[in-house]
Amino acid sequence: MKPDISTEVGTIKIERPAMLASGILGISLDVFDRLYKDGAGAVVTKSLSKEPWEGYPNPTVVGVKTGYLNAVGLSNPGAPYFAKMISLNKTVPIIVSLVGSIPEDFVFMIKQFENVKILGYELNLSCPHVEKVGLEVGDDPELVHKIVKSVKSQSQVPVIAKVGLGSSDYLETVRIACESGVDAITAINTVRAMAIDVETTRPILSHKIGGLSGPAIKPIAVRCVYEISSKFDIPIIGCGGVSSWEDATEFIFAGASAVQIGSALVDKWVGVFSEINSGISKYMEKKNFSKIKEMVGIAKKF
Amino acid sequence: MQRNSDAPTIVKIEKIIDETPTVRTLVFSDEVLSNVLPGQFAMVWILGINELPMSVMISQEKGKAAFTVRKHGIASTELYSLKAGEQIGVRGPYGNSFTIKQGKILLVGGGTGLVPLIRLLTFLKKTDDVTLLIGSKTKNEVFFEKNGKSNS
Repeated sequence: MKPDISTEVGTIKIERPAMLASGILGISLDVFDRLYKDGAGAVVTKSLSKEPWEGYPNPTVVGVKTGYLNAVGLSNPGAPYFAKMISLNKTVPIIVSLVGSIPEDFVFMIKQFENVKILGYELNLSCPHVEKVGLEVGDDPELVHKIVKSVKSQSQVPVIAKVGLGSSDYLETVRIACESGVDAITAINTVRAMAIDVETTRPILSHKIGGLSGPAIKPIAVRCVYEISSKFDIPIIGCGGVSSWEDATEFIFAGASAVQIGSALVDKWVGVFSEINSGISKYMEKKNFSKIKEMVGIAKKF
Repeated sequence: MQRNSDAPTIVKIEKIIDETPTVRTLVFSDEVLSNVLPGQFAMVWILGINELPMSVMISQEKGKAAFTVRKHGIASTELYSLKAGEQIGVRGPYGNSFTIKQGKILLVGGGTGLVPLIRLLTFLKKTDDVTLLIGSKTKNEVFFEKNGKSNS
């Protein structure tokens, strides 16, 4: 019998284990539809704010040897506009990523999506390059508590918190998010990093410091998923440098029920999803796994 | 050295050609960009200001490439105002090119939008039947007409 590659992240059920990570291609329904048809289990939107944000001047993305460095500045058309744009969605499993500074921002945004078909929300508590949101929120336990509590009280769909490596202990952020009632955790966001042009002596990104993604951060992300999974009873979505079925499987063994893909799309384009789906399926068949669930966190037994 | 196509390479502007009162062509040496196909573009880093997508311009000299820019917004005005000897960053090329079909060829363009078409001209055979139509708001703003003639 063919193995079943569908998976459950808490109450979120998806047909395939790899989804599009936030910040990549996440701004139009046509693209979401295409990604879903090409094998993504779900798509996470670019982070939306209460009002439209312009983002930073270029350069906002720069390639480094082991991945990409970006400080885009959370440019987005704002939640109200975006909610209208995806209001015709019928088939695509969409997770809406939200970014804000205070609970009221999030509550306002959730109102916009009340009549839109979505799978859930992902709270961006970890963007490493924009002031007063993202990691600065994630690093503030009291604020994390208030935001998760108010989002949970308003949302009709599951709520995921995306955490990253800020200046405080990320496990503390996870603990507070869990205690405040979050349904799942995405780990991790990009890691604060920078690149300087030797010829001109200038930082390349206009924001100077950005977030590192790609293969360089994969072992860090695997460690974080493993730690979260060892300490908390919470569904996890692994994110950071996944570009092959082996990478995805590694995250699952560390404790993730699903993974997200970003940087790998640059080289492999949407084919990366079907490649991962068939790779995992073949591996499961070979190793006699019938469901993803049987694989989640099994590296912890050693 | 292996070039990282996802990060800027710094080049020095060698020559500036005034095309019209508001348009200039900046010439620089870069082996990779000197060989791009017509229609392809590069990201041009105007240091400390912004990075803009610019169509890569023809240069008759080997190993040279150029950008043709009209001063308009903040970044394009900064690029326009650079002097010979100053630096910019370039990365690319990105994008696709044209398919040239048999028969008569009509090229229609205006302003700096002509750049890929002028480059395309150099890829056509001397024997091709080519007509180039240049659109312009005023006589002062007509440029590249010499390129059109010399290639026809």
